[in-house]
Amino acid sequence: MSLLISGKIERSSGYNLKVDLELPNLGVTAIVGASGSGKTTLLRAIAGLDFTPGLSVSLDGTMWQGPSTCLPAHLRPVGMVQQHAELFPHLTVLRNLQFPRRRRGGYALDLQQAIERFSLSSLLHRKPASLSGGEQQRVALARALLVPAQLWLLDEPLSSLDAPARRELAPLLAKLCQELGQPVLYVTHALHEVLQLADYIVVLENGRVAAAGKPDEVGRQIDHPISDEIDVGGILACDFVSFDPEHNLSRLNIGTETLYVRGDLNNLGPRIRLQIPARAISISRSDTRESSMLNRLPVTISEVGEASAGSVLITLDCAGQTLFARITSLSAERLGLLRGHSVFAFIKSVALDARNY
Amino acid sequence: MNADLLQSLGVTLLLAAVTTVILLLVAPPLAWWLARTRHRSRPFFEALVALPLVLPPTVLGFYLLLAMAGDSVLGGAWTMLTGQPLAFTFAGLVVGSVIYSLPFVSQPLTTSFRNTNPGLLDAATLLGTSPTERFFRLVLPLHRRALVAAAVLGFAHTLGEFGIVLMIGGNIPGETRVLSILLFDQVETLNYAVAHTTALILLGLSLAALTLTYSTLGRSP
Repeated sequence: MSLLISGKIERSSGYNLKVDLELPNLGVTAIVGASGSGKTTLLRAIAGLDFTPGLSVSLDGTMWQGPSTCLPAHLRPVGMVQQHAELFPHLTVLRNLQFPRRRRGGYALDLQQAIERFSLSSLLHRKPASLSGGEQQRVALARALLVPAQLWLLDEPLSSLDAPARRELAPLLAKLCQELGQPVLYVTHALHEVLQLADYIVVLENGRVAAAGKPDEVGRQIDHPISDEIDVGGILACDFVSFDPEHNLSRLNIGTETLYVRGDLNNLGPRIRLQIPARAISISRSDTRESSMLNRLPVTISEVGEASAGSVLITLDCAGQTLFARITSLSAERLGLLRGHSVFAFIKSVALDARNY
Repeated sequence: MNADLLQSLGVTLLLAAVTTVILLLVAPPLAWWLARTRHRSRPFFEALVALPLVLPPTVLGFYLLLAMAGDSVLGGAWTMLTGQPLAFTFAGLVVGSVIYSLPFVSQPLTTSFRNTNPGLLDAATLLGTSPTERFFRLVLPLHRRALVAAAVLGFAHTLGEFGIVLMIGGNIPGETRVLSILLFDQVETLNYAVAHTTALILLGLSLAALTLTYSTLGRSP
């Protein structure tokens, strides 16, 4: 069973979104794209907030909207967190939390659990205007969890926050996503927010699905020149080994090879996913160690893509995991890169920085 | 205080109160619809509601008089239901006042409703509330200041009504003789002392009502 979304959304402004997606009804699906790619439009359509007659949405075989049916938004079993907290300004925090109409069944949390979970007990009698951005978003999260839902929609829940508030809320959100028994669609323009959690990744670009798949395969599908913003590239699962405070480097193992990431990644747990954009990899045929580039992985070329607009996508096998490199077609020709060649992938240090995670 | 004056003050205050109550039931849903709808007919209905702002009250009064006549649909139906005529009665005055004061209640509400943050409405929808529930549980409380201000404005405007009362209410003491009519009568009969008091009462009430309106609207939410 799964969440099916297909059809078109057309706006009078000329903007349109065309999708045909079958998403797993379990775990966290990240929907990634630059602003204007249609990710919020898609989420709002699933929730039923906008009138989108061209789109069909069904969950586990139940049609939410289709050619002849449309379930009103307030009756859809979704819990959604919007970009801004959208707390009701005339009500106290407690009254905001009590706002949802209690319906039967399927609650993630009860009021008391929500208050404890998001540390809201000291804020209950304050008005939203007197809360910080992070506090407001905590209340909004708690409030959203107080409705019964079969699907959770998170629309850039961290984007309106400043960095400290984001650091405070991100782990809370991560824990929550993993514990919710229902599928989560997490929309963001920053894949790293959800990288460690995502079971499935959808990349949207200009109203089209550029790629959709499990983390280790999604980068392969983007086979045309892309903007840096959605250069998903390869996603490598690594093991955290240690943090070296003297050099401010985290050491990670991928198979028998070692990667160094600037900063401390200890808080991400023993198994860490690194996202390595295709543009952050350069390829060398020889193992030059005399380079300022710290990270060098021996890889095998498993595919050389078609050259387009002067660049070519090379698929690399790294101890059974997939990496992608986008290099100029001129370099590919000069190096004579062919399928089956053993080469070395050098990773730019900007792509391996704890601040990205 | 003069007995006539006291009686007229009573009629005036009762008329304004009843009118305001009815307007508070009618105007908010109407204003919400006007603020939200994208239907092509919206400008027409907005214009219809706003008509009393620009039309001479006597024109409105004239048509209302025709509509309330015993042989008209409205007047006939009212007489059948209540056994009373509508024209030249307190009930008739209420009908006229509701129409005449509607834009004064509806327009500030429409303006205020248009400023509703759509994200809040979405949030309420996502929390499982139906459109009707959202209106009562979110929209009205959010705009409570505008509601108070609009009610006071409607009340104050009804206090000062003259032309329409003259056309459909006449001048029946204790029934339809409101302060503004009394003032006119007193001046006609050169009774300036009572005229002064009447005018002062109207002036004071109106000023107080407007001050209340502006202080309510001016406060932060």
